[in-house]
Amino acid sequence: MVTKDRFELMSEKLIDRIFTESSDQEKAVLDYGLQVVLSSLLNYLFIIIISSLLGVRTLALTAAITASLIKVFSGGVHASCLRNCVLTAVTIFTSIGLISKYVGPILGENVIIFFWLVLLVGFLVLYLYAPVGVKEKPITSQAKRSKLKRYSFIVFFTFQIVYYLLYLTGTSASLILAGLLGACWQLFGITPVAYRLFGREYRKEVKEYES
Amino acid sequence: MKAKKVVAELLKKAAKANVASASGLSLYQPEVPQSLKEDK
Repeated sequence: MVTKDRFELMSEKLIDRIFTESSDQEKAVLDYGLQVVLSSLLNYLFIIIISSLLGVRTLALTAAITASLIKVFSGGVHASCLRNCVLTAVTIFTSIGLISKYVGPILGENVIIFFWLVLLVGFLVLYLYAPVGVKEKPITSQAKRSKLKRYSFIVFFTFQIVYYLLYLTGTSASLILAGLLGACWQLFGITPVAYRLFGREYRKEVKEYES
Repeated sequence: MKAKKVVAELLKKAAKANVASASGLSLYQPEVPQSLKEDK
């Protein structure tokens, strides 16, 4: 039997209370939608609060938005519950903000070297691994896999073009570095190493659903 | 109630968009409901 955590139970109760006349099937969809929306809002809310306290809100948000939008198409590792998800996101993106704030000025124009490196590695990683599903939502159809891989490339390259243009216009290296590190975190998230690190199934799942 | 209908529509759209994509915006992924699995 699958046990539900507090967040899932709260969402379920809320849907039950508001949509009393809906069918069980409809309630399940509404509950899923509510969990998806609330988890995203909570993630961003905590990132904004903590990074603001540390004075790196713009940098942390740049990294988070870059990673999130690539993640929508490339997939990647997930935390086992909402608490771990929020904790991981806040820790990672606030750290990226802090690193970018202090390392950006040191790198200066040399940030372009890191840009080319991310572009090259990103291409390889997306080609090899994107898209990756998780146990809760495997990507079963080959057509969908191809479409998501294509979109992963498009979103990744769009961000790279934006960061290159920002570099050309003399935007602060910290902001560009934050975006690039956000992309790096997401690229790492689709590798088998990340799945192992988070204790999630990777190979078994892909083999099982790809065949 | 109109507001309830709008919220329900938005939640359904969010659910379907999440299922159509590889992942949501966050690091959290709830179990996909059976009815949405059958949709694909």
